Amino acid sequence: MKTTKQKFILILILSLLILSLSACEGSDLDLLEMAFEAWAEEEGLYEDGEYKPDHIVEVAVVDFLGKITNTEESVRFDGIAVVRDIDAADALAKEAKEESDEKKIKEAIKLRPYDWRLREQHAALTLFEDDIDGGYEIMDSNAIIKDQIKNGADCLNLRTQQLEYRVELLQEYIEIDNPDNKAGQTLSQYEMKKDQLSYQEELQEIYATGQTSFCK
Amino acid sequence: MSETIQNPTQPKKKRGRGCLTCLLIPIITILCLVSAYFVGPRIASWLGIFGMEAEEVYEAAPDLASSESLTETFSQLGIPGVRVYVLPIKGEPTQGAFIILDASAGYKGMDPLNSNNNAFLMIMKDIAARNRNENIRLAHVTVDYRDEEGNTATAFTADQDLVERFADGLITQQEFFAQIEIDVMHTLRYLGIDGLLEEIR
Repeated sequence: MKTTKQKFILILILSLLILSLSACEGSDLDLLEMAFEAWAEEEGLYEDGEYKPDHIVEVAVVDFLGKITNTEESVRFDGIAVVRDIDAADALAKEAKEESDEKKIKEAIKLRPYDWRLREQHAALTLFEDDIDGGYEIMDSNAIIKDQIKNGADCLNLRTQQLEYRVELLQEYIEIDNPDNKAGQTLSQYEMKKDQLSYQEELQEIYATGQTSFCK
Repeated sequence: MSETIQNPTQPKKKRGRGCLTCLLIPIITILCLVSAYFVGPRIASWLGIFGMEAEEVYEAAPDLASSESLTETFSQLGIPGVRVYVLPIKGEPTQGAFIILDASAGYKGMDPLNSNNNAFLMIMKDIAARNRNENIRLAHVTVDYRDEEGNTATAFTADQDLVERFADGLITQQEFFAQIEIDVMHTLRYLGIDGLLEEIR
């Protein structure tokens, strides 16, 4: 049996859900209010203009169990934390480039080991520092992409993204001044330009023919 | 005459075992519950009984071209503070779109000019169109509302199929919202009303 207190609490919850969203103004608030009301009605929390507070427990329990068993919806909501990890890893990668700090890019890779962009960042940084380890990272990046293709990703699209990313990244490193040898071209700059050219050739082939040996 | 043998020494008292058992049972129970909560799902997930964790599902790099394209949906409408991440879903040929409406990055609402109440429908239509035309292969759209401090205030998710039906005018906005999923527990935690929920229980 519902008590007045319970009714009050549910109304408070639904009102807070709507009013606390300080990020939203005007039509956004109306939109959210409509969304929450429609959702509450569908969940059995609101019926014929009356709030049904008892059902909130059931909704909360189902939600809780969903989190434990990793239901599709729960995984999607947890995906929001993954987006935060992506931002954190990207911030570390940016710092690594600005400070030439390999430790930071390794930390980023630890956070997101299957993100090929971070492998590319590591490869470019090591190449910039005349370290041969960059080659291994390029191989890892390719292997990660091939795994994604096996799972159904579009090879041409993914390879194009990878090459464009790689060319742009190398260009950024080429443009960084080298204080030890300002007058001429450093060995790493020479190597980077040579690599960049070969990736650009593959990109041109993709743009012109829609094909690449990588995807055969 | 019978002799009774008297034991000169008092039997030793069994000390502490009862108390120790009383103490151990709750400790072991708590440990079991804690490990069931934290480790259980991971083991079950690893064995394939439960679904994969989000970190594994969305482990791949964002689809850069699709993320940029969907972010354009908002920038072209003059809505600041919105980023879209399109993440490949592991083991499936589909992807998930995460729309971050971030007040800490300048998001002020769907319709900053307050002149077009159909902004939401226009956004859904544009996402559906880009999904079809650019072969983005979306499985879901998940929206994350962040406050001025960048904390998630609330979130909801909808199947792409639902988005398409709404965009095509097959269902109303009311019907669309009735079928979305809202992250109830997180929203309640954000509001700090777990205690109130306990009251209802």
